[in-house]
Amino acid sequence: MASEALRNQVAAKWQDSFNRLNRGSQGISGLMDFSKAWAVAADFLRPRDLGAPPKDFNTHEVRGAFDVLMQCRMLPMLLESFVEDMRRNQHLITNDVMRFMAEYEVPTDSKKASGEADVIGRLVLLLADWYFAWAPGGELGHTISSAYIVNFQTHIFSVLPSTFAGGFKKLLAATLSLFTRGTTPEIPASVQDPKLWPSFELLGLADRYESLIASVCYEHIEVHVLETCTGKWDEPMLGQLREWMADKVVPWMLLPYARGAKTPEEARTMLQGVGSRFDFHVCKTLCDLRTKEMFDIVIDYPDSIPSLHDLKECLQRVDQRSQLVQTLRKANKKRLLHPGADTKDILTQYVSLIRCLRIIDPPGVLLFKVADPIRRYLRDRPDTIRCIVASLVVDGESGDSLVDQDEPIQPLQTAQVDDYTDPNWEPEPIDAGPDFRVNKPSDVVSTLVSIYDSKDLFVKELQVLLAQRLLAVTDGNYEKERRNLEILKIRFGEAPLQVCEVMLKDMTDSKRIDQHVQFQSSSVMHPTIISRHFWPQFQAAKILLPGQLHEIQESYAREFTTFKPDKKLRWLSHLGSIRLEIQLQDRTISADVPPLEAAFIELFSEKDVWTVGDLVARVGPVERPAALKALLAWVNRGVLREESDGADVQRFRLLESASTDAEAAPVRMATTGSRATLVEEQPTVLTVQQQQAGQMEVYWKFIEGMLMNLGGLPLDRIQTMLKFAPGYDRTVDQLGGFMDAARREGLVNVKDGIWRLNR
Amino acid sequence: MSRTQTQTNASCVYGVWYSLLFCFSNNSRSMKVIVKQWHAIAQWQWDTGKTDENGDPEEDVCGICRVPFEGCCPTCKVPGDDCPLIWGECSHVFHMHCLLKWIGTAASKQQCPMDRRLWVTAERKVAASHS
Repeated sequence: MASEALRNQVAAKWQDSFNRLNRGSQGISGLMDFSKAWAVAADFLRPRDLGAPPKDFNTHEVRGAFDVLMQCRMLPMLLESFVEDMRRNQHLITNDVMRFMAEYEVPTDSKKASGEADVIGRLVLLLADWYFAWAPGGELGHTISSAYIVNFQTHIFSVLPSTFAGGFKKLLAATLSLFTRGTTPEIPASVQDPKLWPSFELLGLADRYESLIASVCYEHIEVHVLETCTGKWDEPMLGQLREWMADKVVPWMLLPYARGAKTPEEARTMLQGVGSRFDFHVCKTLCDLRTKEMFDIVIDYPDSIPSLHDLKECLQRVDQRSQLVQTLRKANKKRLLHPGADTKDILTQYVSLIRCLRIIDPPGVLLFKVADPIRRYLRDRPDTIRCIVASLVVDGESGDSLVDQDEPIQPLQTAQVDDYTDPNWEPEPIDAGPDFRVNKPSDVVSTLVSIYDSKDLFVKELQVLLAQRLLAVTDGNYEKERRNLEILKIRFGEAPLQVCEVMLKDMTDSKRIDQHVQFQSSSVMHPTIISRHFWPQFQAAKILLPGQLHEIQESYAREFTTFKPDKKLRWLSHLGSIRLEIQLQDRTISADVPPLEAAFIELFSEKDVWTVGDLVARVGPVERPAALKALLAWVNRGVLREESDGADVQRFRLLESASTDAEAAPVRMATTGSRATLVEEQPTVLTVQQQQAGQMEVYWKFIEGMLMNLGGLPLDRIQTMLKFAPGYDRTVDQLGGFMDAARREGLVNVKDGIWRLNR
Repeated sequence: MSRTQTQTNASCVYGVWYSLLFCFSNNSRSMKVIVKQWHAIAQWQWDTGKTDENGDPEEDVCGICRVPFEGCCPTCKVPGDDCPLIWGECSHVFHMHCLLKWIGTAASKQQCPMDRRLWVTAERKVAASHS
């Protein structure tokens, strides 16, 4: 029968259970023992309120009770009931948590981060107290305690509100700043409690919020790096940062990351992985910062070298080269490559950039990428060459040279062809672009000159500059120029500078000739006699010098021809300078003046009043503004006075005695002074651009004829045809620029690349 | 007589007057410009005998190398006394180096390259004409 069998089985089970609980004791005494033991054990384990008076348990009795339960194999049952008890008492903990979190969340302005951290800290400590209060004790075996831990933590995490994470982060930050900043009265006691970290561990917070711990540390590192390193370029910071990490942050890191480490070695191995992560973060933060500051670092260049070394080291750890390039290009575009920047400043910045990036990246890939826009921009600037050349021949004492004085002078380097037999050949760096050229660490001048495709332009510009400087020399001391030229010869080679060599020779020859002429018949004139094909073109302004000036010229020319019978002199009368002494009734004025001014004042010794027109008629083809400027110079010296009788005719009167014009002079000075500045100072030597524009006018005739006869032509066709013209040496780009200029003037138009004449 | 007297008187008066005037005007012309020192710029030029006072002279080039006389022949680097000109009796002028090289070749037959007359170097022809 089923019921019979069932009954039997139940009886057997019952008997079995009874036997287990009774443990073969007499009657039911075993059972009695068991129930007593159960009561003791359950009471021992029962979770109590913290406030309740602790019960005094007899350890021996409790242990006995547990032994009994163990023998009855009733521990799992006990555990279940314990868990059930815990659940019943959970509200006690929940209340506490709610209380603290409410305190934490109260929005008060006065509460500072440290206060918030304090609340959370106290909460954590309290929870730890709960934990200890309820903990069943380790002697009960692993099963119970681990079940307890799981249950306790589950409960805690279930009741902690979401705001707890934020508070916990603040608490962690407070503990970290305790280590890095030292003990300050602001840090509440709960944060300094040594039990805090073990509590985290007990409550499982350390594991649960591991990412939070890391982010606290990251943020702290970031703040510290920004605080200490921003704008501090003149000392290496990376070493200091690492020291700071080792001294201050690592002791803190031991708490979360090297828990349970028993020996220092063990701790070290545990810290290894996480330590390198944080070190990476230090590098990355510093790298970001320096990248952002890069433009100013470049400005500060020689002083900011330590920071560049830092950046170099950081870049080796953190792969942020492309960010650096982008940031720097953007900064350059925004702050450097705009019309407001002086070409000289751009060049200085470029040179500093070269030096800086050479430190960071010796192969020059970064430099190539960053410098490319600058070079292209410089190529479009009209005065770049002049600036470079001026800095090449700059006087040693002025000190704002682009080139280091102690940098060895080397010949210009041209692009090198790969040497396939070079055993030390290295491939191009991995991030090099397709058009990257390995330029060996070359000197700055070579780099600057290589902005342009040919160095002829430089030589021409050098010639102009040298001419200006040589003509300005009056004391016969050309040593500086000679020295400059020798240096430049090393750079550019002997042949291109042959012209300059002749110019210097002209100077010394003139000196010798002058000595000879002076010996024959002494003259106030000391001319510089030049070989005209070897000098830049001069502005053509043939003025005729009047009176004694002309006589002086003539007599000198005569002496010259006697000395050199087959040569004669052609005066460039508008160039040079004359020292005059003007004796007037009541005063004597001496001045160094240009020849035009001298000519005018010489004419005033013929009569007292001249109109500008008459003066110009006597002197020759002089533009009216130039003539006015010369006259105003004398007005400023108080020698002439401007008279205007209402008509357009401007007359100038010689002031024999200063007193007659005493009251008018200051006023006059003021107006004429301002007017004099209006007239622009014109350089006597034509610049390369002016020369080129002049030459291009010739070719315009060719182009005009071409377009007239053949109709529309593309640019390269025009170029090919112009090549037939003698002496044409322009590139297509230059021609394009010229044609564009012609279009702006309305001479030609262009459609689909075909140029046509406007009719 | 008296008339002459008066005339002389008048002329005397006028003379004095004029001389006074002259003195006065002379006085007002006391302004004097004295050149103390003059740093001038000049270009030297070969005196080839051609007068080109008015305007810019058409650039004279050596008939052999087509380089201006004031430049230097292709083998020289420095113009002037280091690369002088040579004058021929036939009135043609060349860079001396150019001409000597030409004369040195067999094909020249010692002739002036311009007019095929026998080359005879003129003795300072231009300088002589000047002095």
